[in-house]
Amino acid sequence: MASELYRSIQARVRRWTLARQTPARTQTLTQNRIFILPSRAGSVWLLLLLLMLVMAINYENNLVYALTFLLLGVFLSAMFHTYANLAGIEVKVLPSEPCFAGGQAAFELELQRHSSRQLEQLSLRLEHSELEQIVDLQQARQQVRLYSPARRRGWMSPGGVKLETTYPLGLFRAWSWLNLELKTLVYPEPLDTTLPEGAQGQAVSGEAHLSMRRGDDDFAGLERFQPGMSPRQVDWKSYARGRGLYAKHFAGHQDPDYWLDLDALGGETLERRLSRMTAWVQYLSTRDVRFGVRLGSFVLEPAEGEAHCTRALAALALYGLEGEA
Amino acid sequence: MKGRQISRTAVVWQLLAVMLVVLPHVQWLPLWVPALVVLAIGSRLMIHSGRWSFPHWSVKALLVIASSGGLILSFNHQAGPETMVALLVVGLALKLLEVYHRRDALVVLFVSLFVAATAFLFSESVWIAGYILLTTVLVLAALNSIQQSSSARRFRDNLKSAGRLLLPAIPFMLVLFFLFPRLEPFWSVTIDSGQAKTGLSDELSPGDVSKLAQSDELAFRATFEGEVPLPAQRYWRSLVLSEFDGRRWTRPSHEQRQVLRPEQLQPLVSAQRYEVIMEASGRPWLVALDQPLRAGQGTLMTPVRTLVMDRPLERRRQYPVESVLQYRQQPLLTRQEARHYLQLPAGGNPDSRALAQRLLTQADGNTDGVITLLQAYFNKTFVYTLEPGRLGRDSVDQFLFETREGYCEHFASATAFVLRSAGIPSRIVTGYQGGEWNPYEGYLQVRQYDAHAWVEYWQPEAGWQRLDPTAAVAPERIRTSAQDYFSTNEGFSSAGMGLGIDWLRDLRQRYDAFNYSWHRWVLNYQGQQVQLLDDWLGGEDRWRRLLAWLLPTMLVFGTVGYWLLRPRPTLPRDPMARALMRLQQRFATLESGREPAESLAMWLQRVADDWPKQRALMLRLAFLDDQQRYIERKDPHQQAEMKRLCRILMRQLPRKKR
Repeated sequence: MASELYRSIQARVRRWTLARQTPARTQTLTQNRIFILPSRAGSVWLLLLLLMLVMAINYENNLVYALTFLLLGVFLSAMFHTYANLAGIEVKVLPSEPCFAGGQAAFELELQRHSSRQLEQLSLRLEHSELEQIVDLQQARQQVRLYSPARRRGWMSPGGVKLETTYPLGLFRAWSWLNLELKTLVYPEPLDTTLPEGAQGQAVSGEAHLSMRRGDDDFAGLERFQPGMSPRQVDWKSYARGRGLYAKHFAGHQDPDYWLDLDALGGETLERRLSRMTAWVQYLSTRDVRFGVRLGSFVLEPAEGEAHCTRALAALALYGLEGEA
Repeated sequence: MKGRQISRTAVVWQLLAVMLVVLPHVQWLPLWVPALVVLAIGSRLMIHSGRWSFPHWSVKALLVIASSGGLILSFNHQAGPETMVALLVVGLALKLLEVYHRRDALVVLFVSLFVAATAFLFSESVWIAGYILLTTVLVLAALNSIQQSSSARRFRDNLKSAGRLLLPAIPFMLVLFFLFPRLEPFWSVTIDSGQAKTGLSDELSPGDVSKLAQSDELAFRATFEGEVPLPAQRYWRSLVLSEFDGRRWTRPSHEQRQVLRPEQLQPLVSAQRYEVIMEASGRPWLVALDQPLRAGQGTLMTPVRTLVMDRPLERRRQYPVESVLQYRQQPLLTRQEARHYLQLPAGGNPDSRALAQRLLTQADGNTDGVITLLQAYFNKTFVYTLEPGRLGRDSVDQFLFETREGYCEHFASATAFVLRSAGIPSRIVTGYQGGEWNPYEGYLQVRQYDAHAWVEYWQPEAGWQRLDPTAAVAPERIRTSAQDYFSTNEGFSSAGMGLGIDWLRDLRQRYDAFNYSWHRWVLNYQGQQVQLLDDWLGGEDRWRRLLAWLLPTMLVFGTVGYWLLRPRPTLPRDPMARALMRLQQRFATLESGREPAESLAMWLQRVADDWPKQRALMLRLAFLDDQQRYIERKDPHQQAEMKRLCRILMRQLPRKKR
């Protein structure tokens, strides 16, 4: 009953405070955003003091009175300390990494305190998430990563961020909701399937690339190792013979470009098709294969590399959604 | 929250806290309870160090059953605070075994705090108060430690936090202690701290008072409003014993008490007002100077003008009294009363009866004459000693004619017997005589060795009069304090009161004065509260009280709040970096602040033109800063020069924009 009341108060406070704030990339925990109530341990503490007061009255014992009042003073003092453990923190949004649907979206925040006081045991969590992060803010600024389950592809805003603390005695719970401009891109959930037969065939119609490309299929000779080369390429045998570091040089086949076409995949729901394509994009880019993507009117010319992969995944994530990039 | 594991440091804190709160109770707890606590702490330490694992549930169940049985056996269904505390302590010990999560630790610490508070029910000394304060700090530190992450391992930080939390609570406590109204107990409770209390008993047989004289325990303290009575006037009446069975004097039986009328008192001088703080005696009777005018607050007056309470004195109690030192009491006795005060056993002590008749004839039937003769008789050959021989059946005869050694009760008993045999109504009064004046706090302290017994006899018209036979034998005992008398007379040194050394005695008096203040202002504060609030607040209506509490509280916590939230810029530790930071702040107030994207050198070069006088210094500083930043090894000379430049610039720059 009491805990239900507590929860309803908390929910009301959350809605009210979040509605009052305009989302921003940086928010500071100011006085009118921090709420503080005795925690359950705090209520038990008060009950304990009541018992002690009864004992003091009944045994007419002034020292028990004194101890009771002292502990009541500690209770009030704890309120100030708990509040101060949250007050004045500045929360800044850092760019966040995209993730795949079905996984956990990670949001990077930077906490900064503006006094030399150490803040301890701050618990942070996102509005619709149960996962909390506990931070001891020992340096002036510290980065925190918060997770929230990513359910659907597209842009994801996890809602408010809750900062909470019961430090130093656990008698009070101070909390605050911040409306931050948290946003991350969620790629479709990859669906592990084999590449379609026809995908490569289409590449024939594309322009042919005849030049040698660097790949890892066939051994083509040795070259001097240079920083940045993969250690897998090092020719350890020759290094052992004392000839110095050499890297094996492989030549890739002259593969035709792949084309991943949404419309070519018939028979399944849109989401499933997007999921398949996501898996292929991942698969192809880990193998440094050139590919292009065709999503209805949107066409991504064949290329390779990380930037290309990101662009392809973003296109898949936002296909058919509002605010398409 | 409940699932969160507490740190290893926190476990150690728990063990320490439990050990400390149980310690004051060890002296009265049945031995197996502290043993169980030690066992539990030991086992938890073994678990802590990884040598043992947590006990199986069957072991825990067995322990619970065994200790429940132990509690039932030890406390035998008594429902007193002792049982409660023992139960809590046993619970603490068992809970310690499974402290692992935050919630377990919370239970342990909250119960610990309560057990710490119960220590005051058993002792209220300054030492215990200090000890419990210390324990509270440690419990708070323990509470703090369980809130920390499980990797925290610094005991000192916990202690610091506890101190910071407790410090503002102290003025808060003082104010509340001062103002909080003391209520009447909700239900009556008794507490037996297991220590037998010494004090006067309601009967007197030879040897009773001399036994008390072995004890230097405090009986009561008294403070006087006006003049302090002279030592020879300090007769503190406590009990009147008027029935004799040949050996023992007792209070009148129930039927006899119906016969006795409340005695009238006509004061002959003005009354003396004073206050007595009586130590717990476990008995209902109080003391009052010979004779009290009326019963004060919370006390009752018996027909024979002694003060009693309606229940045994289980706690120290303070009460005001008014007494007159010269009076006429009960000038008329009814026949029944006279018969009561002449009662003697049918037979026994024949020689004493004969002595009474002899004295009566010698004095021509004059009461005063009998008394003078009896005292002269005592004065001749009798010895006043704490260690008289044992008396047999006809105790009065034996004392008067054989041993001739005795303490005050022997003389009083013999005197009353002889007077009654001579037809003079008389009775025994027990109480205390004398007391030691404490000059530091201005009060009289009376200890158990001041216990005394004397006689009151009745004469028509004059009424009841005091007669102290001891004064005839050992007049110094009455004129000086018992302590002085004992320490200067051989034969009393065995009483262990040979405080001949002055400075030791002085020290003892100072200590006692300190204890007295403690009792008066802390333990018995309710006695002073109303008066004090009147004096300080000019009345004690609710609003004044609330205001008197609110203002200091707001002041204290306002300060705490400001202290906690005051802006504390994070200045770098490195003196070089700090000097540069200060310089930048100064320039910022002069509206030449550094832009976020600027390096220190770029900024200095940009603003240098605005400060023609300092230009050279600033450019030099910019150059040096660049040097320092990109050089592989720092050059201490350059650093020193930079600091010097900063200092000079700070001195030359104006503090505010003109």
